[in-house]
Amino acid sequence: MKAIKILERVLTTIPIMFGVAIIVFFFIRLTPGDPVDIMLGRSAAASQREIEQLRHQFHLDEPLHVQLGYFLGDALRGNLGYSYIRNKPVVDLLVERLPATIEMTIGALLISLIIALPIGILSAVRQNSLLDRLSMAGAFLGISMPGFWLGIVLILFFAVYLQILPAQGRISYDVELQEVTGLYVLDSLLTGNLPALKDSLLHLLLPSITLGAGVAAIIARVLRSSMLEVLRSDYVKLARAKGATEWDVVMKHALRNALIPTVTVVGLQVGVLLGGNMIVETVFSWPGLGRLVVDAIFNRDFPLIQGAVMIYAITFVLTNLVVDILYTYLNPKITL
Amino acid sequence: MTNTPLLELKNLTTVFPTRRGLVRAVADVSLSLAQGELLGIVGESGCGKSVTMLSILRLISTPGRIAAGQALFQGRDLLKLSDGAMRQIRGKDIAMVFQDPLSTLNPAFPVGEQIRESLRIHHIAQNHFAREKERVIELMSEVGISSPTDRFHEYPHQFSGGMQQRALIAIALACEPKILLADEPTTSLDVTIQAQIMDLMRRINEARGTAIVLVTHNLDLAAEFCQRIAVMYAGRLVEIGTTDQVIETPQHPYTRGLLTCIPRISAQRTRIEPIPGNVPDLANVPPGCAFAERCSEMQPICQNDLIPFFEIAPGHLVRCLRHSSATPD
Repeated sequence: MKAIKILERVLTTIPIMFGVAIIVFFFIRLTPGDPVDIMLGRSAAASQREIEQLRHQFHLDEPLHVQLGYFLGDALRGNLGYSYIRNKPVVDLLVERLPATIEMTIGALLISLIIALPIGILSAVRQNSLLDRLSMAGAFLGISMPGFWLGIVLILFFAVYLQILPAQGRISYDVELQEVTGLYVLDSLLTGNLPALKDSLLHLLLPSITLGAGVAAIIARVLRSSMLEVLRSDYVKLARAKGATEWDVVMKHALRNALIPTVTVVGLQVGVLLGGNMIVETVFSWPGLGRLVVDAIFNRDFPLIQGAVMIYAITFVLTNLVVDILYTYLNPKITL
Repeated sequence: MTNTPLLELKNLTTVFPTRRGLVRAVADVSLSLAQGELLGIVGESGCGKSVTMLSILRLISTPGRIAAGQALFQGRDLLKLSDGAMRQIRGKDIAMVFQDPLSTLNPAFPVGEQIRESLRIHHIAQNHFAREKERVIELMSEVGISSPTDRFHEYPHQFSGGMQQRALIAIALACEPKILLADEPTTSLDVTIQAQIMDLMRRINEARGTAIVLVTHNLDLAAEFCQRIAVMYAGRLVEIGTTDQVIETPQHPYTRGLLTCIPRISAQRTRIEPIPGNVPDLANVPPGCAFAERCSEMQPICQNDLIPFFEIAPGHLVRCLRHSSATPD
C-alpha cells in the first residue's frame, strides 16, 4: 500500500519537472545579456555573419515557442542540449560535476546533524544551564557567520597555520582512486582503498563544516524548542509516572515527537545547502555543480543553466518526498 | 481497613517560586490512606489537589519543589528515596491516571505498546514479548476495550475518548499497583462514559483491593464513589471525614458552600448559591483561615493565626474556629 503511494508521488514529479522546465526556459531568456555577444567577447572583430551563424546554430534566431519546442523535445529524450561555452553536452557536464556536490551536501548534512542533535536535545533537557546558554550563543554565531568568511578562517587555521587539513580540492594528486559512482568517499569504500578513503574524508571535512555550520545552528534551535515543548507534555509526565528512566523519557517518548517539526526544517535546509554550495565550492576549489552554474549564469549559457536548475528542482522534490515518507513513520496520524 | 495506613502524608508542602512570590500549592497537607480504601480529594481548580498527587510520585516539574513534609508509603518516606528507588515505586506500587487521556497517551506509539511498556519497565513478564503481549491483551479486555487483539496495534488517535481513558487505566493497572491516583479521570468524558469509568474503577477496587485516591472538583462524584472525603482549599485541607460526615453534616463553611452550589433535580426548586468572592492568590495567602474573606461566619479572630484541625467526631476533622470548643487535633 505504502509502496504504491510512494510510486504515485514519484510519478507526480514528472508534471512538476515539466513545469519547472518551462518556467526556467522563459526566465533565463528574460534576463538581459545575449549569450552570443558574451561568447564572441563583445568585440567588434566578430562579423555580423559569424554572429548570425552562431545564433542559427543554437536556434537563437527562432521564435521563443519554437526554441521551447526544441528544448522540451530534446529533454524528453534525455538530451539537455549543448553547453555554449564548454562545448560539451550538458548532461555530461552535470554527470561529471554532480557527484562532488552531492558528496559535499551529504557531508554538510551529516556534520550538521552530528552537531545539532546532541546539542538540541541536551540544551532542552538542561534548559538555562551553562551548556544551554553556550550552545545557543554558538548557534547564533553559526547562523550569523557567512560561509565564505568561515571557510577562509578554517583554511587559514587548519590548512595554513596547523597544516593538518587540505585547503582545496576533493583528493590529493598523488592518491590513486578508481571512480565508480563519483562520490570519492563511497568509491574508496567500494574499492577497499583505505588511503583514498582517509584522504577524501580529510578533504571533505572543512567544506562540510563550512557549509553545515549555519544549518546545524538552525536544526539545533528548532530541535531545542520542540523538545522543550514536548518535555512539558502530559505523555512525558505519564512516561515518568510509569517509572521509565530519564533516558527513555527523553530519547524515546520526547525525541520521537520532537523530531516531527525538526524533520521539516532539515528537509528545507537541504535546499539551503544546495544554494550555499556555490560559495563554499568556490572557496575550497571544489569541482562541483555550484561553480559550474555560477560560470554558466555569467556567460548566459542557457542550456547549462536549464540543466542545472532541473537538477536542483529534482533534488527539492525528492527531498520533500523523503520528508513526507519520514513523517508517516514519525507521526502515525499522517498518511501519504 | 487495617490500622497501619498504606500511605501517609505528613505536613506535605510543595512550593513553586514565581515572580509574584513563593506559591504554596500544597501547604501542610496531612492525610492517610488505608489498604483498599477509596478516598476522595475535592476542591476547585487550582486548590492543589493535582499537585498533591504529583508530589506523592515526586513528579513536580522544576522550578517547583517539595519543601517540607513526609510521604510515607508502607512506612518508607518516598521523599527520601533515591531516584532509582523512586522509579521502582512509580507505576509498580503507585500508579496514576491523568485527566486528559488524549494528551496523556503518546501519539507516536501504538496503545498496546504503551501498556506493554509498563510491564517491561518493571520486568513483570520477564521481558518476554509474547507473554507481555498476552498480558496486555488481558488487561485491555479487563478494562473493557473490545477486540483487544486488533486494537493492540492501533494508535491513540484511533481510540475514542472513553477508550483512551480505559487504555490509560490499563497502563496504570499493568503492574497491579497498591495505590491508584486518579486525577480527574472522568472530567473530559461525557456522563455515560463517566459512569462506566467509575464503575470500572470500583470493580478494580473490589477485585484487587487497590486503594484509589479520586481527585475531583465534583463533590457528587466523590460522594458516590468514596468512603472518605478530604476537602481542599487554597492548598490546605479544610475538612476530612467519612463521606457521610462530610456530605450529611458538613462543618466547614467552604464544604457547605460547595454543597449548596451543586444543581439538583428535585421536586423542590432551590436556588444555586455561589460562594461570594475569589480564591486568594496562592503567592499571598492571608494569615489565619484562607477562606475567611469569603466566609459568612467570619470573626476577627479567624484572620490572626493558622487554624488547627479540630476533631468534632471520630475521624471528622475541620479547620474552623467555630469548633474551637472541640479538642484540637
